[in-house]
Amino acid sequence: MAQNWSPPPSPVAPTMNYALWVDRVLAALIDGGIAILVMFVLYVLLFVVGGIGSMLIGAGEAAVSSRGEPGGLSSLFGCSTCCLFFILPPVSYLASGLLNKVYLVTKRGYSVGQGLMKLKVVDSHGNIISTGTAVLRLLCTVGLGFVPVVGGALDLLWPLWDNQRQTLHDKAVGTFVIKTG
Amino acid sequence: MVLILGLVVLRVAAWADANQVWLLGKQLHWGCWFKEHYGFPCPTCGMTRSVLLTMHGDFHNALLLNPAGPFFIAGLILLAIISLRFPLIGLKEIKSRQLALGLSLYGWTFACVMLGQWTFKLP
Repeated sequence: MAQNWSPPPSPVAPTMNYALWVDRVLAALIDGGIAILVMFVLYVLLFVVGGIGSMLIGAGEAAVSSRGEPGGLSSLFGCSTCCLFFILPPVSYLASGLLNKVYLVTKRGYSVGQGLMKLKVVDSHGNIISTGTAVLRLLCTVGLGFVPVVGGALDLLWPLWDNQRQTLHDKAVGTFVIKTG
Repeated sequence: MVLILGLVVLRVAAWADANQVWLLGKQLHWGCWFKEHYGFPCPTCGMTRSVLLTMHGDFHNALLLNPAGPFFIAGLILLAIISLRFPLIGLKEIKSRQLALGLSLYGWTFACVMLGQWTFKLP
């Protein structure tokens, strides 16, 4: 009986055609363009809302200051849209990423930029990644972008010396980007 | 090594107190356009002075100016120490998954510190 028994085949990762670094950079630039577009739309929206709010509060303050009391709230509210310049880039990247890098990647395997460059995000078995993995992958990308001086560059350049051409955010969640075309 | 060299050069060439920055003995007259326009600081206001004060060991004033400064220097030193292992054990042997997760966590914490201290400075 013991001679007939054979051990189950060990899970071997399929041979993958890892994406070239140049293709990944081009895909990232296209996806970055989408994030910039979202940032612009958000900024216009906030500018309009902030402007209307500033005018409304400012009109109220004009009445208050006529009674001799100090104001300043309108200027603060108007300026808050400008303050959001520091917050808008990561927020817009996250917002566009939820659609582009989570929804699309979990549904079809690639974002808009990756689709154009014929790339696909897969796990170690070659399957499309789960939503949880995609969300964590997005959070890692943004987190690495927050690291001053070296974070974004290290993430972008890592595939150049990695055998499986993974970025750091790929390493963090165990994903791979392959060339399909 | 480049990181450590950069920090050493910064330590030698630049100096700061709570209000001013000096580079090679010359006072710099930098101003924040954001603060000048709107009357209150931006999230990165005080970062240069805070970084330089940290480099010169004045942690108390550095933390008061911008807590992200000491946090930034600590992160750079830690990354430099990790990077020093590259030539010793080989780049491929670095546990890149832990490095990636650690850097991401550091990035998010840095952003939270930066925005957190800013909210306290808002009028």
